[in-house]
Amino acid sequence: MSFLFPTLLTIGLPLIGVPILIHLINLRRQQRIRWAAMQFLLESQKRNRRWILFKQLLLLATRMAVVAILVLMLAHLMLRNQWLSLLGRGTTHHIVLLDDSYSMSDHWNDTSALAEGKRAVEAIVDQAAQQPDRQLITLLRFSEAAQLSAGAQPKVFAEPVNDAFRSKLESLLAGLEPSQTDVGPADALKAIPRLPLAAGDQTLILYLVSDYRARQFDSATEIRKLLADLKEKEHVAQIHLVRCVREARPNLAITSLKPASGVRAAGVDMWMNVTVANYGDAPARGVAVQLEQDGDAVPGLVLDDIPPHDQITHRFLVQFAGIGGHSLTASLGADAVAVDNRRYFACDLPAARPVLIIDGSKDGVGGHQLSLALAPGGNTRTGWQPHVEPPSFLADATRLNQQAAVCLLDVPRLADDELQALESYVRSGGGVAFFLGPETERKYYNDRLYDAGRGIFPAPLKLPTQLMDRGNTPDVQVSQHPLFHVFAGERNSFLPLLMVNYYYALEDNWRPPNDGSVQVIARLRNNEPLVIEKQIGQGRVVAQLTKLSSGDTPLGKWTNWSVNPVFPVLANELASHLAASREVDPLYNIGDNLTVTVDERKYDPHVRFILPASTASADAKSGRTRTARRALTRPEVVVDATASGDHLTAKLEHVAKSGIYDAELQPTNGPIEHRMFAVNVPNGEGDLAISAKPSIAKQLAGVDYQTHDANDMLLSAHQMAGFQMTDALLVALIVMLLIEQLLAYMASYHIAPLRGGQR
Amino acid sequence: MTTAAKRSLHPEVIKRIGRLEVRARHIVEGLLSGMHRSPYFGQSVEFLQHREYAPGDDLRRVDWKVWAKQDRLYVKQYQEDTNLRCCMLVDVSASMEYGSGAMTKYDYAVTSAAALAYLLLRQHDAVGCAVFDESIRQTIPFRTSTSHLTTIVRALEPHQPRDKTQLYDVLARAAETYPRRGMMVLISDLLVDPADAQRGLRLLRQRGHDVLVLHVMDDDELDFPFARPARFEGLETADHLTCNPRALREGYLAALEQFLETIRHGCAHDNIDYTLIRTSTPLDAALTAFLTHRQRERPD
Repeated sequence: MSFLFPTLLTIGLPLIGVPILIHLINLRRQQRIRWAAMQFLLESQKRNRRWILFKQLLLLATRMAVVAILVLMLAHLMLRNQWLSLLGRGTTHHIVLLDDSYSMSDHWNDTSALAEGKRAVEAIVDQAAQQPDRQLITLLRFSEAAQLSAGAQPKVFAEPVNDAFRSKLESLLAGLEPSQTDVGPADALKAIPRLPLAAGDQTLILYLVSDYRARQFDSATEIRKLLADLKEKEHVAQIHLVRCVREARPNLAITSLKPASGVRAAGVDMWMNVTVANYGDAPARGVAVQLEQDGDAVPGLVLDDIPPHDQITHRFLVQFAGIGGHSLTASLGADAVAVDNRRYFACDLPAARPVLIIDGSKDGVGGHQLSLALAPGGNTRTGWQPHVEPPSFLADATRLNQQAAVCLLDVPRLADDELQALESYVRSGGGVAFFLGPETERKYYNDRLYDAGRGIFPAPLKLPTQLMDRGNTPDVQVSQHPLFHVFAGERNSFLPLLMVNYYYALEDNWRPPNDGSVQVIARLRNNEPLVIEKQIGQGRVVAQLTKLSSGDTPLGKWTNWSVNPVFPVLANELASHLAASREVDPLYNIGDNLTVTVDERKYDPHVRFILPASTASADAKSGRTRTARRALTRPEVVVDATASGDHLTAKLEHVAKSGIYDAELQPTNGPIEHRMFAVNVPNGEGDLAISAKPSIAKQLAGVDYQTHDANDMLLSAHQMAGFQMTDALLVALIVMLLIEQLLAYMASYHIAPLRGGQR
Repeated sequence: MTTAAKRSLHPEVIKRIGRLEVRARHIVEGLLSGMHRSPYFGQSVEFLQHREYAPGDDLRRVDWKVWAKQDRLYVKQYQEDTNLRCCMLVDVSASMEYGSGAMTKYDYAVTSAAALAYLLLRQHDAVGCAVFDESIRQTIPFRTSTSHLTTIVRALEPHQPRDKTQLYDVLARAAETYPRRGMMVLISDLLVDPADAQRGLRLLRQRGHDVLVLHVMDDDELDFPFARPARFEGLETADHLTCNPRALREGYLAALEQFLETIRHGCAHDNIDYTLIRTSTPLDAALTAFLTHRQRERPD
């Protein structure tokens, strides 16, 4: 048993004697009455003396008890584990879950959400240090909890609260910075059952120190269930929710920076998309985006106004000179949260990307024309390296997967292994274009490639059909599709130049499926489909139902598509569109592993990872690691690659800091090679909208918990340890007051006012 | 009685009248002026006068002859007999000193006695008086003259309540002092042994006296309204008691009720008219009790 305010107890305990004092004072203040009818009074006294004395003593004791209970209540009596300690159970274990997700870097005035959280932790420890019985502290950061395996111990686990620990905690908290993760309370709570807690001999008190953002707590069904389970299964005695933030601040974040199309080669203009989200309640006007290309500043962007709680995407051109690794960084001006103001992109650019052309026509004109369109030669750099191969090329999956796009021109049919490899290529993100022609075997296409909608071809073919009734209307009508960007505009003069004589009609009863996976992106004059696109897995297939080339056939010329002036543009757009879905430069998030795989015979097994600048330390856990520092303040980690077959794999695990990572590879012969990785923070954590207390209460209905503001934890922390008896004392006080009233009534202190009043 | 007349007999009003004699006249005149029917004009063979009928008059007294002649209603009034001998026994013991309102029990008792005396003397009855505490302090013989009121008032006025009441001895002495049969009006708070009082009253009855008891009690004594802790000190004894009055109230009232019941029962048994009067009630209570008693004793 202990008291939070022992001073009040010292002052209050003497007050228990107040009823006696009042009694004595009343004795002195009693009125003197010269009375005639003493005989009746004495008779009454004689008859009731003992009973009256008993009732009055009982009443006096009750009043003293009322004062005592009131004093105990105000002094915050806590029934600590003293009673339990008699049975050997006297330990209170404070489990503090500290949110260190990057929204906790939200700062205002001279403090931040994490700083408030640290203060709350210190207040909890200070409070625990004042308790007489055994106190243990476990401090678990959210980011740490997310990676905690079952039975593992966090850095601060069940530490006895003493001066040494407080000193250690002080230095620990001083060095604690917000992580760049978006780990939420649910992940942190899930870690508690994994802690190696001693079963049943501790009083567990849980503190959830967080910023309580709306995105996590406006729909907190899982959190409610986790808290309820902790109460029930882990026997957590008390749950305290500690709020570090009291108001939401506006914040902008770059949520995406990635290529807009598939053209990515050294010295070629690349379209990039940058997306900026406005998490504030007011529109963001004149947002400027700074760009750094390979570490050098380039002209920035000024975006359109961003409506509140919305985002916009801006398209811009960049060009990286030279093959190899390159980086691009977009950044915003300072706001409440800094870490989401920067977005990174890294790529490993070749001189050109291969485009596989398989021409099944007898004359081979189509393949030649398409190759010329994609790589005209001379000083014109398109970034494509087309090569015409026979269909058997498809059977080699390794080589096929290196292709940026695949174009099949009037291919009659494919072998099974070729088809299987092609399907696999498409489903993993590859892009394939079909151009039909007189060689196309309709039945094969319908049975194997279309396969009742399950195959990669988008529609079932009927018969080659002649387009009749040529008039003033252009043969081809195109939709708003990136492929046909060149035809944009009402007065565009290129579209009427396209002519189609023959095309493959589709089965009459075919309609695009309702799931939107198949779209007709160009039609003929007679409204029959001409170009169809199908999404399969992560890849896409574009099918043009006529020939590419303008070569003669037994039916005559099918189309003038390849001799149209805009054909090179169309061909490049097509290759770009097909290649865009295949992410050759994957984007990484915080917590991901960065993996480098090389040929064992050609490279040294030590891979040096150069980390982003500043003091961040990456968690390199695989193999032997050595950490050094370069003069340019970028830390390095050397990872020993592990051999697997004839490959070496070096893995940098659970990267904790966003930025550009540079992996240096030392070939056995030749200069050092670089692989670039862009690691970004997860999106959404920068939304600083907070969940109001009523909303939390609604979400956590049925869970017994207390909420506190971190900045007044110094006061309320006193309530956090032990078992508060305030509620019980309040009930006792009410009961005693009722008893007091009953006794007073029995002792005739509640006689109804007499006529003429009492005296 | 009208409200105004009633108000004029209230203890607070009467207390303002300093002289007892004047008080007595005020009370009697006030009482009589408020009555439609004259209470003290008894039935006698000697006609006195006619008076115009007023609602409430006994129809048997209407003079029908006059009505037949004048078509107006008159009632006949007769000269009362003057052979009534009434002795008032007034308790002036220390217990009578208590009073919570305008008048103490002593004030109330002597004022009532004086008013009665005046009433009786007005109709030429013989009135005597005895003032007592533990013994008879003073006796006034029977007289019928109007000036005898002054003698009675002098006997009542100067007394300071003192000593205990020895009621049996007093009543026995009164029985000896006034051997001739008459009316005995005892005005006291009767805070004595009930058996003792009963014996004394029975003795008076045995001597042939017509006995009327006016039991004067203060409101406090009947209601016991005390709330604050108090020290009660006996007026006639050295007893004292420090207590919470509220705790004792129930027992007190029970004991009081038992006492009153004993008195009432004893009086009823001995055919003694008993009236309990609060000192807060208007002064006509005593007179009304007397007149009611006399009316019953001498029915028309």
